[in-house]
Amino acid sequence: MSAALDHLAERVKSDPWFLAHPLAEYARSAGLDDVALAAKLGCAVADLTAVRLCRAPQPDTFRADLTVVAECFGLNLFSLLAAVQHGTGLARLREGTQAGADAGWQIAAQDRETPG
Amino acid sequence: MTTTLPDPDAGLVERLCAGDPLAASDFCVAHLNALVEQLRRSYPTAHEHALSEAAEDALLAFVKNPQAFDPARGTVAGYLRMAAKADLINIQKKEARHHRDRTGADCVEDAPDPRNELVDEADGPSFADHGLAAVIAGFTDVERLFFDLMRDGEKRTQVLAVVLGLADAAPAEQTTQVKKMRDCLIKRLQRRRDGP
Repeated sequence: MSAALDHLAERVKSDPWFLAHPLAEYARSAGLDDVALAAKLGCAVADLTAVRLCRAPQPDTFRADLTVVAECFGLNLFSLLAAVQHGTGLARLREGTQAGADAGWQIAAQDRETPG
Repeated sequence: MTTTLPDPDAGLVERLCAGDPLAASDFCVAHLNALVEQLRRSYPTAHEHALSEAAEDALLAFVKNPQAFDPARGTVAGYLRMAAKADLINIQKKEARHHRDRTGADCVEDAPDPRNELVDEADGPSFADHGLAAVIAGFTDVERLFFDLMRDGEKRTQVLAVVLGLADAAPAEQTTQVKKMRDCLIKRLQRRRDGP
């Protein structure tokens, strides 16, 4: 890999389109740095960049997509499945919480604007 | 009869379109370093972070929407190069606005801002005349992209108008401004060529 690819992989951690996103959520939640994440997934740290740049699994082909990634990079499939499920769940929870909070503010604002 | 060589990236594009989860990674690995290097050679005075961001923006847009690429109009590498150049110009415009150091892209012969002077060495050899090369080196970034497109044979007003930031302008306005820019660039080159 290269510094440019590492930079791109870092950038897409906030982009749900990429596998980097759920993996970053998982690693943050579990308190894992790159070395620990690579060990958990069963790959070399150097391979994490390419793994992160893969497309995030689609809901209807979740397992099949991750199987392809695991086979390509020699990852432990069950660890990958668990990490991505965990990370995806966290991301949804965060989005849901944010959406709920936004809705709450809107309702509160409407209540203030609508007298009695 | 001309023979068109197959695009070496056709397979990757097919995989992206088919939703192959590995394709985006393979595509980025195959293109990012080369794209950054091409930009660096073309625009040696551009900031490193701007080069990276432009190349990344072009790649991300491509992998997320590979259907936007029309293989009949050129190669993937050429498409990425053009997209990255446009992204680089947008980034520099944004930065210039931020610093309030730029006065806009009017077609005037002001001395270019040294921070934004984009010298395209990779494309330079086709203009061996040092005088013409100097004129081209003095183009603003917008003028440079416009000129590159002209030189690549782009004649469509709509496409050239996008470079001028007139994508949403009325067709008559687009035609006027595109003609104005084209005439201005040609005149500057001719003046140099015919001059002492």
